[in-house]
Amino acid sequence: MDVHVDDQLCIGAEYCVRYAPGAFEMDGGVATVRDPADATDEQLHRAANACPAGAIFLDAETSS
Amino acid sequence: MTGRDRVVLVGGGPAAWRCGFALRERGFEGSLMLVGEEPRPPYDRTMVSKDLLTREPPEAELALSPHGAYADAGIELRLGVAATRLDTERRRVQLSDGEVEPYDALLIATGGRPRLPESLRCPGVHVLRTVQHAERFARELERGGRVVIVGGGLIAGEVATAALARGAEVTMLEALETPLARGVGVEIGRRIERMHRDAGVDLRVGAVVERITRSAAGYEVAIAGAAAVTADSVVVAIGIAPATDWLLDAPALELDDGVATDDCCRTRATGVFAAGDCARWSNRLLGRLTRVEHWDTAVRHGEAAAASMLGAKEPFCPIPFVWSLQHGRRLQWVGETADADRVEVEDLESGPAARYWRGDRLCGGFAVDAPRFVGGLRRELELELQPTTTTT
Repeated sequence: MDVHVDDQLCIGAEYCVRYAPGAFEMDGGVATVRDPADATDEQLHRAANACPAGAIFLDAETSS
Repeated sequence: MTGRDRVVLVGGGPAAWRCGFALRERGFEGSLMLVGEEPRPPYDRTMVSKDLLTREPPEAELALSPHGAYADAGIELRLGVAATRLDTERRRVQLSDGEVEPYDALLIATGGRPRLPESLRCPGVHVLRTVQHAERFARELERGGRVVIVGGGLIAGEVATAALARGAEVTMLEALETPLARGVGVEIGRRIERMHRDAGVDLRVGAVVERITRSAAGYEVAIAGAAAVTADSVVVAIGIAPATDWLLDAPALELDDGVATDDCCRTRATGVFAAGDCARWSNRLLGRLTRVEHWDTAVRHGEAAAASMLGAKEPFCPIPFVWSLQHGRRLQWVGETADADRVEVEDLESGPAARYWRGDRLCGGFAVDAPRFVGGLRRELELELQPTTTTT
């Protein structure tokens, strides 16, 4: 799964690091993608859905 | 503070949680205690009206920090214990387990309690604020049936979403002419109304509930000037009131729909700060006292209180940001939409969107499923609203 965080939208609410730890990490108050393989697709979808800012974009088509 | 003092955080929500960790991150080395009325450490309350009604999220998702993080940070947790009295002169707080804790700095972050006026009180009626509330309602949802939701706001919409997903029939009773009319205006409210109806909610607007009664057959909800509706479950979701009853005999504090503070979270009592849903603070951007009942503001407020305890003089004036997930759609708004005198509504391909103006100044934005639209407005507001160092 291709995962992208839009750092212009991120408000640093940290939902993603709770829902999909390993896949995301915080860097200077903004979420960044660490390793999507560290989370299940379900966790990634939940993280993207729960993100208050809607800053997480998933692209399943490029998933290997 | 000198760094060796004693800080007591009263409250188990996001403001107290953030304040505790922020104090450590900012180098505070004194003793630090968090007093929480609920039996569990601070958790994601936004799940109460969403995930906790439809699934059983693992503890790692629900807890704001893993249990061990408190010990690692030297934050003593006193859970299942309420503060019952604050003595601002002798600087000590009395707890429900009989202990009395002295403090050099204290944070009041006791949040809010669901509003439940006398007319709506009836045994078995649900409110949703805590994990316990959610667990009780989720058990009732297992048998489906007819759910009546009193209220049409964010929590009401999220509960409607969850109840439909669990197979219930849902009736929503909104007292005003549209849902969310006060927050985002009637034009957007009408679009939210349509969204609820399209999802299968029987939404009645202008429906003022007079009374709820219970019989062997279930509940009867009486509506002014309209036929009563019957239900197997009733949820009242009409907002919260600040949980400040325990402060009534602390005369040094100013209580008026929340604990009044200056723009650095300081109350009138020495060493006493307030943050989150229970605080009414002097908002420099608006030139008046404001109280906000939303997650993002509460977290930022906790951080600001920590900074202020350590002597910083940064005024707290965040741009409100609110979101909600309803019927699979993401509602977001920024700024002071309720202050607008003009609303410019557009129907984007993604859903409804709006810009809010006060005079010729942008004051807020709203959209459904358009995070980039809202994000753009948030940046515009940041540029426009941040206080500048020069005055004209």
